[in-house]
Amino acid sequence: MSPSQTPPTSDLLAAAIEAHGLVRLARPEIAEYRRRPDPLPEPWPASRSSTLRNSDEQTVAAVAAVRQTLENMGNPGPSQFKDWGVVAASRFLGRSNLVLALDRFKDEGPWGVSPHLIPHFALHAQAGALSLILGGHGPNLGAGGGFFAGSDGVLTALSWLDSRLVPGVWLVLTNWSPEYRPDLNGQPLEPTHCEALALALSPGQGGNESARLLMVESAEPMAPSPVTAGVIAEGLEGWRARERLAGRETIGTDSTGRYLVELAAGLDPEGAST
Amino acid sequence: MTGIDPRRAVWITGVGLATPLGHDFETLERNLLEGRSGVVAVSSFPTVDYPSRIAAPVTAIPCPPSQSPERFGHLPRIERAALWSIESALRDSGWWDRRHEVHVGLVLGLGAEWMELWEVDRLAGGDRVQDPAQDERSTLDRVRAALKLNGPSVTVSAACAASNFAFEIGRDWIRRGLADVCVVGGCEMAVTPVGLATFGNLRALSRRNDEPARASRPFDKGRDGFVLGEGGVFCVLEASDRARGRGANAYAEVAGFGASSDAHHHVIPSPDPAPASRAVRQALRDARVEPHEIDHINAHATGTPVGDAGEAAVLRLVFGEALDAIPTTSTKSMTGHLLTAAGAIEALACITAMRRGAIPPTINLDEPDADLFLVAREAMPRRVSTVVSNSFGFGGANSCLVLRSV
Repeated sequence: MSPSQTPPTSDLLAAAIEAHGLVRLARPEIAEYRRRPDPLPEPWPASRSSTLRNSDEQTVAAVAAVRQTLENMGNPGPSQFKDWGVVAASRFLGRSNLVLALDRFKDEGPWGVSPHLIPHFALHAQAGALSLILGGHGPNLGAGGGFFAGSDGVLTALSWLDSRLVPGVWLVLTNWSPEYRPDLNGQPLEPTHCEALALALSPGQGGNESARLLMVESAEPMAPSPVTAGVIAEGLEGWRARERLAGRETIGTDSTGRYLVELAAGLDPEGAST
Repeated sequence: MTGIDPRRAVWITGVGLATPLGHDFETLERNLLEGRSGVVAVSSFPTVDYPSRIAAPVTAIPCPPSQSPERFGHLPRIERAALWSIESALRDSGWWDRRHEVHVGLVLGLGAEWMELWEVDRLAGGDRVQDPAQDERSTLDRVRAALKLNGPSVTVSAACAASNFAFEIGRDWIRRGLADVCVVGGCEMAVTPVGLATFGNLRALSRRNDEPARASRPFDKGRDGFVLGEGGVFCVLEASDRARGRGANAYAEVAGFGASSDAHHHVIPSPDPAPASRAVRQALRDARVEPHEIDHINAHATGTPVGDAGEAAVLRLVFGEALDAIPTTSTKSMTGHLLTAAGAIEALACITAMRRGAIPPTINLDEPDADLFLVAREAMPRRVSTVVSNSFGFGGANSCLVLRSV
């Protein structure tokens, strides 16, 4: 939707995008990344080899997206992020594993049930794993979980920044594209890639990307349009490609179509568009 | 919508619940103060092969007045618990019939939504877990539509700390003017065949199967794990000036919030009390209270050997000698562990202490195993004004809520 088609809106929350990283990984690439002893670049410390062993594939991709964001920022060390929060918005975490787990329960009863289901496939799991790997002590929270997880994640992250609960937020959005449809063995019925987008957000007006992420309320509901990792990344890349330094663009909505996620130009300290 | 005020006082003006100890606040208060246990032998499915065969389940969730009983009976249990408790909270606050006049937000703490929905369907022979097209609408979407709520809404989970985070997000939305009224809380219905098995195989649950009512034993030497509970518990938040202006009944002020992460392990709490103490200190600062001004602590304490000892160390680090005069309890001894709804039901236990002038006890506390001023076995008469409620969770999530009487 172009800006001119957007109905009147009122800004609710905004944050500056300091940096972002997008990965689009096939399952073999995720399996390879899972085994890395150094999920984040130096000077970040190596993790225990078991940290991601049982994690969902979306969680592994989320870590890869954070790594790419750090590389895009020039590999800063952990100290500047020690108090940052983590908000992770995944879609249908654990679906492929749950096919196998549920059918195994039907065959074997309770002794066949893995103890890893809640720690690694419940909504909190991705945020918890990211927090563990980043090693910071800011809060971590899962958001969304379903088709409209993206807007849930944006709303949550911007709320944290607005309340000054944290000095910055790692907002990570993950999803399969197309959506993962597992067979009885948990394998995908059609080729699919896991998309993961990490955004380093601060409460300022204009980050290094000269772009802001906004949550706005529309006067009239629009057709619901999920915000995914790929959609936001595409918006940011298009922003750069067009060298567009002013204006704003709606890139998705919540499930009602009333609350919109937008990208907008950053502002300089005096409040003028850069 | 109203203007922005980052220090605006936010009050709880309505409550709604579906819990192992009752589906209305009066009943819950009575059961908490009488020290009754909601823990029973699980009877809704065969448990002979389970390591833990006990739980605190929710039974017979009432149909809220706005819903058709026939349709309601066919809804997933999560949705039934959420609908009943959210509508009850809005009715209790006086906003139900006027909800179209204001922006009503919803912050839903819910951690294992899809697992629970996929499990029920799969065990009944369905293929929902293999078919994303059946998952287009989340519980949040369905509840918001069924109750005609028109404000911002979000599903969140920090595992067992989720509800406290919901309180904070809702408070911010009120202060920021995103919502005029906000329903916050948690809902989890994990007493299912696979739910009980996965927690049991994690060796997190008590195996005191022969004595269900005595199994949940926070801070007791004989504790051997938590007891799985379930339920939905929600509170209505609104700005104090709005509540005062309409003569609303106020239960408490949401005075402070703090949160942190251990960054230690996926499920094991950090042996270092510093990260969790940071959450408690942040909440006290936010509420502008000193440790000695706290009248009561509702501990997270689930009844695990490591977790309870760790929390006692956290409290000692934050409160120092003042802790010796602060009555501390764990109501999970009666309710079991409601997971994402735990923080919300424990907020109601704190309100109970304020309203009734008596602190709910930690039952089954035969041999205290913590250097705390514990409210053992019977309710303690006490004037309570400012309360700390801790909720910690998997993923190393720590949270602390400060509630103040109004």
